[in-house]
Amino acid sequence: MINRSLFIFILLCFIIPFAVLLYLSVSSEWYYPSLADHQFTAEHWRWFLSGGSTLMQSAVLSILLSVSVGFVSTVCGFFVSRAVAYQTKSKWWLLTAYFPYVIAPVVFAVMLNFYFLRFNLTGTIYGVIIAQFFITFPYAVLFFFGFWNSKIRNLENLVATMGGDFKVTLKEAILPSAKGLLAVCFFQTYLISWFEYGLTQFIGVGKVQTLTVMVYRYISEANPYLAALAGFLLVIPPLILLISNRRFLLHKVWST
Amino acid sequence: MIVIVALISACSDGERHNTGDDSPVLNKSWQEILNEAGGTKITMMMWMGDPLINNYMNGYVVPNIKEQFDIDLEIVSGQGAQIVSTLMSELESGRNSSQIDLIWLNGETFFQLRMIDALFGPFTEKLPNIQYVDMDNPFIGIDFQQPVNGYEAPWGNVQLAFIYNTGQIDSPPQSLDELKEWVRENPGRFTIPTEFTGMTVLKSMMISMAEDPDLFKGEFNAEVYNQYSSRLWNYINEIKPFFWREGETFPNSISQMHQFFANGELNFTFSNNDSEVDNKILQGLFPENSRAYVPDFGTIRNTHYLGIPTLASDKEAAMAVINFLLSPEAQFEKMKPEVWGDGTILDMSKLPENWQKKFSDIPGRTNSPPREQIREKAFMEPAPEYMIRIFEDFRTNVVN
Amino acid sequence: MTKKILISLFVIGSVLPLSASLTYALLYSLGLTGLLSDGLTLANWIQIFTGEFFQSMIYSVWIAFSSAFFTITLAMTLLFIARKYLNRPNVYRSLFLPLTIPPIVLAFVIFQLYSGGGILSRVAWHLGLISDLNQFPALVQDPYGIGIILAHIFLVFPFFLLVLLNLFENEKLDELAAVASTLGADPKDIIFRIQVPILLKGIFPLLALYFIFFLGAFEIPLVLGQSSPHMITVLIIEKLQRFNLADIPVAYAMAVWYSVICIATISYLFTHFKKRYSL
Repeated sequence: MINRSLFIFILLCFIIPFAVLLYLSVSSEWYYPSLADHQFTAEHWRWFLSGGSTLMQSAVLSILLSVSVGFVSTVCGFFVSRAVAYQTKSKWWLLTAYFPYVIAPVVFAVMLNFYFLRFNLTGTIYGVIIAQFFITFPYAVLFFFGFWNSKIRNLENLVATMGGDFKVTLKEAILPSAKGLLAVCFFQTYLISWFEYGLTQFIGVGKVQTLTVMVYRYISEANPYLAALAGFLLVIPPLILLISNRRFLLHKVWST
Repeated sequence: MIVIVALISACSDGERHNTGDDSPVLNKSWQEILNEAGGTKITMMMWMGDPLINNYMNGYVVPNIKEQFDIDLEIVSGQGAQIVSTLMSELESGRNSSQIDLIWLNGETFFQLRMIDALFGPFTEKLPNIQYVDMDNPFIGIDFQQPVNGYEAPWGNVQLAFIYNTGQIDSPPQSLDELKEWVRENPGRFTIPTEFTGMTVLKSMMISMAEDPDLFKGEFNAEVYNQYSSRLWNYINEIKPFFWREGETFPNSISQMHQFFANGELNFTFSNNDSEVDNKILQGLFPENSRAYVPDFGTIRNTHYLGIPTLASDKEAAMAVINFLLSPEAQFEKMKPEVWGDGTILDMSKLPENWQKKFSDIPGRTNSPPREQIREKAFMEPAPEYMIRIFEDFRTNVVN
Repeated sequence: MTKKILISLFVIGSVLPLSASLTYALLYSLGLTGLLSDGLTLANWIQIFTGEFFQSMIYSVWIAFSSAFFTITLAMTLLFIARKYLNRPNVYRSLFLPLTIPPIVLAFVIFQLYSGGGILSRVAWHLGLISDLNQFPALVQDPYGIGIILAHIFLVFPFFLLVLLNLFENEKLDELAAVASTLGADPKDIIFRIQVPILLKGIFPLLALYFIFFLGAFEIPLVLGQSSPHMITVLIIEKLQRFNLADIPVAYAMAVWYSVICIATISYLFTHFKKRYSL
C-alpha cells in the first residue's frame, strides 16, 4: 500500500514537467493567479507547424546537427577505441578521454574559443559540430573500450587465420556483436549533443540556433509559451528512445 | 610538443590588430557603396530582450532591406559587453574578418570598443540620411560624454521612465525622499535590476543627489564619483531590506522585471524608453492601467546608436542598412507606439514638410508622459566609467 | 599503419583540444597573451582566491555537496523502503523518465512551478493558503539554491536508484542480510551497519563523479540561481562578458583552476577505484 502510493507520487513528480510544458505551450496571457481562467490557444503550435517558422527551422537544424555529431563520434570512437585498446598497454590513455567528458562543456568552449576564432569556426554550424565532437568523441572511445576484450580479439584472430582480411573480419566477427552497442552509443552521443546549450551558444555566437538556444532566448524574452513549446520539442526524441529501448538513455560512465 | 605549438600560436597574436583598412570604403561614392552592398548577407548583433523590437526588425526592417537593397540581414542576440568580448577575442586571434557586420550599441560599449580600436569609421557623413540629423545636438552628437566623431550613427532617443500601476498607486513618489518612504511602507514591491536599465536608474539617482548635475559632465572624475556614489549606496542600503526578496537577490534581466510587474509581484518597473508602456499595453503584456512617469528628481535621456566593427567584411552593406534605419520611413515606423515607440533622432526642422506633419500626427502616447514635459527633467549621460564603476560597486556594496 | 593513424586521431580529437585550450587559458590568465595584457603576472590567480570568486567557489561546493547528499539520501531511502516494488518492470521503466529532460528545459519548468508567480503559488492562492504573490516562499533564485538543488535531485536520483538496485543484487546484500539475521543481528543494524556501508563504498566513485558534475552545472544555475554569488561556470561566463575588461584574465584563471580540479578528481578516482560497473 505504501509502495503503491509512493510510486504514484513519484510518477506524478516525473510526469509534471511534461504536463507543465504542454500546459504552457497552449496558454496565453497567463496572469497571476490564473490556473485555468486564462486564454488557451493552439496559436503557438499552429505558428510552429506553419511553413518556415524560425522554431521549425531550429528544430530541423538541431536534428541534423545532433545526428551528424552522433554518427561521426560513434563511428570514429568505435575504430579509434579498437586501436587504443589493441595497441596501447597503459591505461593512462583512457584516463585522458575522461577529461573532456567531465569538464563542463561551456568552460571547455570558453577555452577553445581562441582556436575556433583563428580557424573561422565560430558562428558556424561546422564549428558547433566540431566543438561538440570534442566532447562526444572521447565519450565514444570510453564507451567502446570495454568491447575490445580478449573474446573479440580471439574472434578476429580466428578470421585472420582462416584467410579473411579486415573487411571480412568486420562483417563476420565484429559487427554482429557490436550492432547493439553501436546503436546505444549513437543515441547517447546524439542526446549529449541534443541537450547541449552552453557550448552551442558560446561557439555559435547565438547564430547557430538549436532548440536549446531558442529555449533560452524565449526565457530571456519572458515568453514562457514558446519556451515551453521548444522545451516540449526537445523531450520528444528522448521519449521516443525511452519507449523503444531505454538502454539508449543510460550513460555507462564507469568502466576500465 | 603540443604545448609548444599552442604557446607559439597564442603568444604571437597577443598584440592589437587592426587589419581592416578603412580608407578604401570611405573613399567610395554612395552609389558605389550601394552597388557593393547588393547581394550580400550580413549579421547584426543587438539586444533581443524585447519581442516587439524584434518584430520591428524581423517583420519590417529585414524584408525592406531585402527588397530595396537585396541584402540578407540576419539578426543575432548579444548585448553590450558580449559584443565587446566577441570583437575583442576576434582581434586577439588575428582574424581578418568579423562574425558581425553591424551592432546596436550605447555609451559604455562605444567607449570600450574605441579603447580597443574595434570600430570602423568615421562613416556617418557618407550616409545620405545624416542630413536630417542634427549632430550638434549634445544629446545626439555626444555619447556618454564622448564625441561620436562619425564612428557610430544615432538610431533613437529615449528617456528613462518609471512605470507603475494606477490601480495600485494613486500618486507615485516624485522625490527621492518620497520614494524612500514609499518603499518602506510597501515592502517587497520594489527592486532594481542588475543590468543596463537598472544602472541607468542608479545613475539618475546619483546625479540628482548632486547639488550641481553639471559635475557629471565631461571626463570621469573619481572624486565626484566617490563622493556621490557613497551617498547613493547609503540611500539604497537604507531601503534595501524593504526591497523585493528583502534585497537578497535582484532580477538580472529587464524582461523578468517586466514579467514581475505584469504579474503584480512588483509595483514598479523601469524602461529606458519612455513610451514603452504604451507599446506593452497595446500588446497585452502590461495591464491597462499602467502608466509611465519621470519623477521630479530627473532621469537620464540618451541616444542609442549603430556601429560597424572594424573587421566587418561587408561594410558597404552595413552602411546601406544603417542609412535605411535612419530614413524618415524607418524612423517613423519605429516611433509608432504600437510598433516600438522609440523617439526619433531626426531633426524635424530639417525634414521636408510632409514628413514633419506625419511625425507630429503619430497617435498620442496615452500612458506615457508628453515628451516636452519630461525633457525638462533630463540629464545627460555621464562618462562611461561611471556606468562601469556603478555596475561593479552595486555588486560589492549592495548585492553582497 | 592504420592503427597509428587511428591513435593519432585519438590524440587530435581527444587529447589535443583540451591541452591546447588549457594552455591558452593559462597563458591568458598569467598575462602572457590577450589584447590588454601587460606581461607575466600572478595577480589574476591571487584574485580567484579572494572576494567574489572565492565566494563563488564556496557556494558551488555547497550546492554540489547538498545536491549529492540529498540525492544519495533519497535514493537510499527509496531503495530500502520499496526495493522489491521497484524491480517491477513498469516501475523500473518510469525511473528513466527524468533522463529524457535536458537541464535547460528542467530549469525552465522548475522556475514556472516554484517561482512567486508560478504554478504552485497559484495553487496555494486558490487554496487560500496565501492571499498575495509575495507570501509564497522564495524557492528559486534564493540564497540556499533550493531550486538548483531540486533540479539536480530530480535529474539524478533515479539514476542513482538504478545503480543502487544493481549494486544490491551484485553484492548479494539479501543473502548477507539473511546470514546476519541468523547470527542474531537486528534489522536496523543489518541495514545501517552492513548494507548501507557496502552500498556507499560501491557507489562512492559515482557520487564523487556527480559531485564534479554538479559543481560544473551551467544551465540550471543560469536560470534558477541568484544574483550573487553565482556558481563557478556562470561566474566565468559573466566575467568574460561584462563591462570590466580587466576581469577577463581572472575568468580564464578560474576556468583553468576548475579544470584542474576536475582532472585531479578523475585521476584520483581512476587510480583508486578499478571496479567495473555495468548497468
